[in-house]
Amino acid sequence: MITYQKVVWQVPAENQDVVIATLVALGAEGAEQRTDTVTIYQDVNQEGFENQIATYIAGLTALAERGLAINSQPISQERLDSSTFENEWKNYYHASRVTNKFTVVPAWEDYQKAQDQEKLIVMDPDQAFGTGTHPTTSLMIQALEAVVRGGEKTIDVGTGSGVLAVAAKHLGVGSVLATDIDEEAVATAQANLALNPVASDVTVIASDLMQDVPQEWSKSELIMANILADVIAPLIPQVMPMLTAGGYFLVSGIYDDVEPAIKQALESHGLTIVQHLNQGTWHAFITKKADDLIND
Amino acid sequence: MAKKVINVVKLQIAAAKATPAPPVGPALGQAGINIAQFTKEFNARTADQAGSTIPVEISVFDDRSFEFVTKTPPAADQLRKIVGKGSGEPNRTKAGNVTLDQIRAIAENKMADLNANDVTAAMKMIEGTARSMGVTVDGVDLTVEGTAIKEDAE
Repeated sequence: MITYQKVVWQVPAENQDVVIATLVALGAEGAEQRTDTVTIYQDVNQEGFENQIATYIAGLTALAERGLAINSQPISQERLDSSTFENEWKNYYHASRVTNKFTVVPAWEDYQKAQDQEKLIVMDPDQAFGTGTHPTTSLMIQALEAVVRGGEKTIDVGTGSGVLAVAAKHLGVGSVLATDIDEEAVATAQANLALNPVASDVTVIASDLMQDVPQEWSKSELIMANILADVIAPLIPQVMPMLTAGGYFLVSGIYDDVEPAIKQALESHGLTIVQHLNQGTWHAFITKKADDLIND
Repeated sequence: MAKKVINVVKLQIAAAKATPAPPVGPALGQAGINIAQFTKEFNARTADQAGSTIPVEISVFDDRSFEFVTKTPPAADQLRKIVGKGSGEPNRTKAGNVTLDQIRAIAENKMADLNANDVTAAMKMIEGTARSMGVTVDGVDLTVEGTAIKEDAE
């Protein structure tokens, strides 16, 4: 648990930018703005935290002396324990039907299936991305439902919480390798896979995109990546040699403004766009590598 | 089923570098948002602006899902970036110096947000921000001389 000192200054909206830039120059990591207040949170266990707050006040005093209409003295200061808010979101994270077949269930919730064919993905996402309820995740699960026929050798790039690896195993893919650049996500994914017996044989490794993917995973029939759009472009040339002829490459995590560029990058590498999926401002693509040419 | 916005959180934070540390963790945690989900999306969408502090406005819906919009770095932050972090000794009379060309570059960058008729008018507004921050322009102390812009320049 971390205890913060919450410090609030009264600052008219038009002067908030100058106040925040000054606080940042003096060491703050940023600030919260309301109509007429600026708030910072200082870790009380950090050495010299009281001096730090005194430094902020002195900085704002200097602004006031140059004629900026602000009061450099905070209007309130209070202690705030991280335990009071860090798990607040869990109160709103409930079992959620994300596609026709799949329901994502928090590990701490007792949930009964509504229908026999409903498939459950149990998740304790902790700090890794992938509660399962984000549009980028549900788009990717829809893409998996469309292409999986069973037995596919599969790579899940940027697995996060592991939610998509579990979905793919439910749909019947064969062996799965899941990767993430973040060691913490690797640990979270492993813990989540253990909560889902269907995915107990998934292998998780730390890897920057496909860099550390062992050669034995070449000729994969299915590669999926629900990741940040700015790393999709560098990922495509890494995927091509690992994807078997006629194999599918599924991408999600694409925001409206970069969708045309990603589409072009996929096509320029010879991938055929089979389907473009869209939910709100988010996009996903089902793409296919060309089949081997048959020589007469 | 339309979702209802129940809260709007406004922050100014370092582009591409959001972490669960303050102010992101406390501000969004109190709003019931999954902090990891926000930092991942925010860092993705601001990767090309690293080094700047940018305003972000987060709309929180009743199911605690969220959407956010980012803006260009404020003029004050662009000045801070030029002068350098840690330049802030709070009581120092002068926080640093920028050139008139740098003032012009910021004015042109922020033209759309400023209610200014031309670049010179926009530059004077940026100078106003510099004056408050104790930043000199081409060595000119704005609290004394008012402006570093020569009337016949342009």
